[in-house]
Amino acid sequence: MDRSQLLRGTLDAATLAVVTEQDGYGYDVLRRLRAAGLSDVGDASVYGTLRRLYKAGALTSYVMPSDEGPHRRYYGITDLGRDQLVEARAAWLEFSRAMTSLLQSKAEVGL
Amino acid sequence: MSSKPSIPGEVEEYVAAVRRALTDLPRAEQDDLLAEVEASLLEATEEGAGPIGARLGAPEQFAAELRAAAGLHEPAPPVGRESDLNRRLRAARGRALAHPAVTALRRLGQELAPIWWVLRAYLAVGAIACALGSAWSSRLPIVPRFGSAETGLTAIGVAVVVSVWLGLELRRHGSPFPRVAVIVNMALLLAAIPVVAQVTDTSSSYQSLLARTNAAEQQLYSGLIYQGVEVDNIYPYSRDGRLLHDVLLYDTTGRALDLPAFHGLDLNRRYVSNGHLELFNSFPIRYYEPGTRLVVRPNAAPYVKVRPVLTPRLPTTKGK
Repeated sequence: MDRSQLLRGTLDAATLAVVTEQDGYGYDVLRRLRAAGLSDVGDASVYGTLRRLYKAGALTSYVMPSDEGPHRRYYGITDLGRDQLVEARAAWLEFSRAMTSLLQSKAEVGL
Repeated sequence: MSSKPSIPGEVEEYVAAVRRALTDLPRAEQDDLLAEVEASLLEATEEGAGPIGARLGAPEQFAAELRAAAGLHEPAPPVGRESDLNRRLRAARGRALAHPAVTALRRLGQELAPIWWVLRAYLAVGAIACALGSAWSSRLPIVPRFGSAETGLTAIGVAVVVSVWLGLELRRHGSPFPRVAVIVNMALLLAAIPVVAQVTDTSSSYQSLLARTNAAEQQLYSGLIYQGVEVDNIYPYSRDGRLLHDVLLYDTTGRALDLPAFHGLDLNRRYVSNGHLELFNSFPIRYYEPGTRLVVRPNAAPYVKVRPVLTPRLPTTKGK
């Protein structure tokens, strides 16, 4: 199955989770998502998602001056974002449990 | 974001191409999105992540992904089935609008807009005057008269205030009907044609009136003018309708109504004299047959039917 399709519905939760650990700027969030195993997450998807979550009030943002290179816009989680993450986590756990049991039993039948 | 040290051309080009695909978004939105993109691309490039195009794909694709993830609307949906040509034109328009020269021009246009606000107010008043067929001030040919030039000036003043206020309001809050605003402005621009024509006409007819008056004033010194037209002869008749000869004419102040020869001495004119001086106020002027001293038709006169005077004669004065 195309992993990018799976990602599409879960990128919000993944981004919120990464930012909750520690504030991060665009490229930094992207790197941490990839390091966590979401290797084929798209650059543009992450930047767009950060922007959307920020506009929706789930993230806050501030600019940090940088000695080398341009200033960086950091994103941090807000209370709203934290609530959203809690909800997403519960939904995901329930969903993944269901899928896991479904796919495992199907696989066993197939075998 | 700011204080860019040196942006590699590759990054700059890529970001510019992405911007071109986002030109339908508000400027601030574009700037925020692209600042993020640019900073990240720079960092990735510094890390030696390889050529941008290979890593990120086509800028248009990147822009579409960015837009989708940011939950921003797609570019204005084409109406019906858009032809290939239309799509190319739209793309060209987007590229043109994103061009730095065009951006600079648009900014300049915004700065100069107040001049247009004043001008369009004048054009609106002028157009109304043209439509109503009002007269225009002759001394101030740019001012239509609504009764008087002062009223016209007041109307222009009021229109300027309203137009500038409207311009500032719309600039601040955006126009609720942008298309209507464009149409109204275009219509006012077109109104310049009749208004300019009217102003030129008024001003040139005033100039020519001045010129005619000046010419007439000059000619008063050398001849006779009746209703702006040069008089080259006068034919006096008696009360019973007979053409008179050698009648001397004077005005109220005792000036002789002289009609001297304009263009040098006219050799064929019959000059009359009082023994000392030649008289130029003797009418009708008669002309000799060329080469002779003979007036062939002394009673020649314009074709007028002279009606005899029926009012009783005034008492004649005795003596001179």
